[in-house]
Amino acid sequence: MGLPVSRAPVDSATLEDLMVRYVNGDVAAFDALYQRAAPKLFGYILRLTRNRERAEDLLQVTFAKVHRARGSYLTGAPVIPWFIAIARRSFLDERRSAKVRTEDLSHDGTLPEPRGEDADLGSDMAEALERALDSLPEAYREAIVLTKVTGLSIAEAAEILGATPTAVKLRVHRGYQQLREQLDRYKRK
Amino acid sequence: MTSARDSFPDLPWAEPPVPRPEVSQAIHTACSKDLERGRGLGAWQRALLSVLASGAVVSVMFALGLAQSPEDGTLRAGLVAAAGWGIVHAAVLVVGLVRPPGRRGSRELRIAIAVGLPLLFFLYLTLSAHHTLPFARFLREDTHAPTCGLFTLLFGAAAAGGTLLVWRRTDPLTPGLSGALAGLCGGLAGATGIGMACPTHEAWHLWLAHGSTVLVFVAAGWLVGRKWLAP
Repeated sequence: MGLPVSRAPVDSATLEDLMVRYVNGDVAAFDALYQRAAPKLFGYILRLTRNRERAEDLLQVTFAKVHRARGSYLTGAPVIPWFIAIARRSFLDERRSAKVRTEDLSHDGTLPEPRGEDADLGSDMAEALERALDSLPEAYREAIVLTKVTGLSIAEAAEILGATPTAVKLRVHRGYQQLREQLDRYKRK
Repeated sequence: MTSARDSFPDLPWAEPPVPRPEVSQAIHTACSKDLERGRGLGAWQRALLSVLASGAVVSVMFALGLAQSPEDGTLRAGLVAAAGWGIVHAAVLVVGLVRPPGRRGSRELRIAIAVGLPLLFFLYLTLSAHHTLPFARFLREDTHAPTCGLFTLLFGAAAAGGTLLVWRRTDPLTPGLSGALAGLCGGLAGATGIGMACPTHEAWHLWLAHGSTVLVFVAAGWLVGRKWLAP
């Protein structure tokens, strides 16, 4: 009893079509799905954990859970929010059980994890932006990462965060204002 | 849906990083296993199973009620209650669980259903009560209430447990809320069913032994759903 399968080539298929084909046993569809979803998911997890190794572990845990639960995927559910919600829950569970907390800025104002190891940021401005993002309160940071960086809609981010769309809009707006102020200060320097 | 990109100019975000090739390879290996065993039920098939699980509970209670007082009035009242329950149950499933996560009704609507329907059920119980004893007298005289409450809990647990099992791992986004709605379905099945089998029409009995269990199942469904319904 399989789900309806789209026959579009994997390149042009939507993520939701690829997910259905993966659920129906198509390994090529999984590879295409992974290629397209993993960078967004990994970027999100990396910003949650601020540690590349933990992010890679969590990425594996997330995909293992996706694989185990793929039979429960309901056709039409947006894939990226589905994956991100699983990753976020895994992160929160891990943090709760291990009592590991995300690190705040240390005394000299730098992040404990060297940024250069985490990502190829490309420019000083991008690095300053990442540092400014790290310094935001968690609620603002997460709302911005989900909407501005990962590209989810406000409604999707609200579902994941368990908040109303209005609250998420407000968090994004306030967080964004703080980001711009910090970047303006950086530019003046 | 509105995107945050509509209202804010973009900042120079870094390109998303990629995991190391060995990590991707490990994920590929893990996710290529047992692919033929992955297929699950569709949303409507799950909904049908949920209705069958709860319907079985209501039917058993209905049969018990008929066995106790096999008059025409019992049959008619039971059929009306069963039809009303069926419509409400189907509506909760369609609005709350059948559409895929992320495309379901708004969170506010689903919360309103989880909270509002038990209140409406209390109103229905109030209207269907024939009389109200003073509370102290109810406590003294109604020795039947604990047994009735226990049966409501047992049958409701069967219906709610069945519904939660059927929707297991389907909702990473709002598992608690979906669990509360599954609990509501089971709780309503148990409470409606006991209404068919129980001859008491005293208000306190209906509120406490029948109605309050619905609230218990909504709360329990919310707790269990967070564990069971999230992948």
